[in-house]
Amino acid sequence: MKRKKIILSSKDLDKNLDQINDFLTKKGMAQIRGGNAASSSDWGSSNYAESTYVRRVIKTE
Amino acid sequence: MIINEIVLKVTNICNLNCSYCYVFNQADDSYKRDAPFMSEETMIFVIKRIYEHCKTKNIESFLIIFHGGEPLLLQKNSYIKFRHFCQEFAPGIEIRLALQTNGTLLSEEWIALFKELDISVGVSLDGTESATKNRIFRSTNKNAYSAIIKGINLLHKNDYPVNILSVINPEENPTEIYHHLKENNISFVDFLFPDETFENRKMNNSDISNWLIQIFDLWDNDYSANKPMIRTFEIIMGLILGVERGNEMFGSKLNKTVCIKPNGNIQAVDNLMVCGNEFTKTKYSVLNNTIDQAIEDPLIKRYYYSHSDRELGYKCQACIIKRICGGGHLAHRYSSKNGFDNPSAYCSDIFKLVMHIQNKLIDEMPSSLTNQIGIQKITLNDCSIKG
Repeated sequence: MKRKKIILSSKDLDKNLDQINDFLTKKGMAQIRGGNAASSSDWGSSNYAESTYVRRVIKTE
Repeated sequence: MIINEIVLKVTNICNLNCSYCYVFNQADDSYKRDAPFMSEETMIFVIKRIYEHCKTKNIESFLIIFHGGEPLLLQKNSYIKFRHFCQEFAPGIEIRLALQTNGTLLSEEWIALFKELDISVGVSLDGTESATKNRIFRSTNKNAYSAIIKGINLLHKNDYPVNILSVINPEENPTEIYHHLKENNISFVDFLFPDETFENRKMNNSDISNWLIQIFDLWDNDYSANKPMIRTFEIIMGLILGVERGNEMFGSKLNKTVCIKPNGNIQAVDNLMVCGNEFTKTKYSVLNNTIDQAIEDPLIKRYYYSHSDRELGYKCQACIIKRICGGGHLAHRYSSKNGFDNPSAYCSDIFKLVMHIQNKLIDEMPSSLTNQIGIQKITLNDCSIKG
C-alpha cells in the first residue's frame, strides 16, 4: 500500500516557495526559506525547549 | 557528535517554588548536594571547553543559555565577567547568550545589562493569575503573578523583546490564556508539555491536545497585527511544509545540547531529571574533561540521537508522522519497566495535534497549491500506535 504523502520534500518546497509564503504571510505567520536555507536554522530558535532564544531577523523598510 | 548549545545552570537556588519544577519538586534532589552558584573558575573552564570543542569541530557560532534555579540570583558582575571571559578565552567564536528567568527580579539595571551584553531574555509565565497559582514565592507563599507581569512590563518599557514560556495546564481556559498573552503584547511564546514520564503521569490522554488545538484555532484565525509567534505551531507547520525545523520536542534534528551544572558537571539536559534521582549525573566535569569526552556518556548520546531511528522504538519508526514528532521529548518516553523504549507518554496528544494542524493547513490553502504539492489529510487510523 502506498504511504500517504504528509510532508513536502525540499524539492516541492523550492518549487512552490512563493505560493507557500504568500499563504503564510496572509495568515500573519513567519515566512519560510527554501534551498539550502531550508535545512539550516531558518529562524534560529534554541534546540532546548526551555529557552526562548530566537535569532530575530530585523525587518527593514 | 557536535554540540552547539549549552544549558548553563549558573545557580541551583530559586526564589520561587513551582509545583511542577523538575529541579526541586520531582524525582531528583541533587540540588541539595550541588554548589549553589557557579564559580568564576568554573565559568572560565566552561568557556575554554566550548572553545576547544568549537575549534575541533569547526563550529563558528555557539549558544549559551543561562538557566537555574533563578539565574538573576547571580550577581550582575558575574555576567559582565562572563562576557569578558568569552572574549578572552573563546576568540573568534560567535558566542550568543540567552537567559531564562521567572521575571520577578527584573529591574531597569538588569535590562540595561542585557542590552550591554547582548543577552536574549525569556520569561516563564504560565498565563493569567489563576494559571500562576502553582508558582509561589518561597519566602511568603504568595502567588508570583504580579511580580512576573511587572517584570514583563519593564521589558516592554525598555523596548526589549518579550519571549514567554508557558507550561500547559489543561485546567485553565485556553481562550483566556491566549487573550492574556495578547493583552500583554507578547511577541513570542511557546507552550511546554509538563515534564511527565509513564511513572508520574497526571494528565489524561487528550488533555493536552484538546487544550493546544483550541489555542491553535484561536491563533490560526487571528489576523491582528500583534499575533504572537507560537514556536510549537510554527515548528510543526514548517516541518509539514518541508523545512527541517525542530527542537528537542519535535522534528528529526539532532539534539546538539548539553547541560552544565553549577559544580561543572557535564550532563544530559536537565528536564531528564524527571526520570529519577541523579538520573542525569555523569562522571564528566568541565574541570577535568573535554566536551568530546563527556558526549560519550550514554544518556547524552541517547538524547543527542533521540529523534533518530537508532533511538526510536519500532512503533515510532513505523509511524506516519515520525518526521514531524520525532518521538517527542526523550524524557516523556521513560518508564522504569522499559527505559526509553516506549512511544511518548504524550503520543496520542501529539498525533491529534499534528493531525489537526495538517488537516487545517490543507483546508485553508488554495486548492491550486494543495493540488500541486500533493500533501494529504491524516486520520486517527493512520496512527501506528494504538491506545
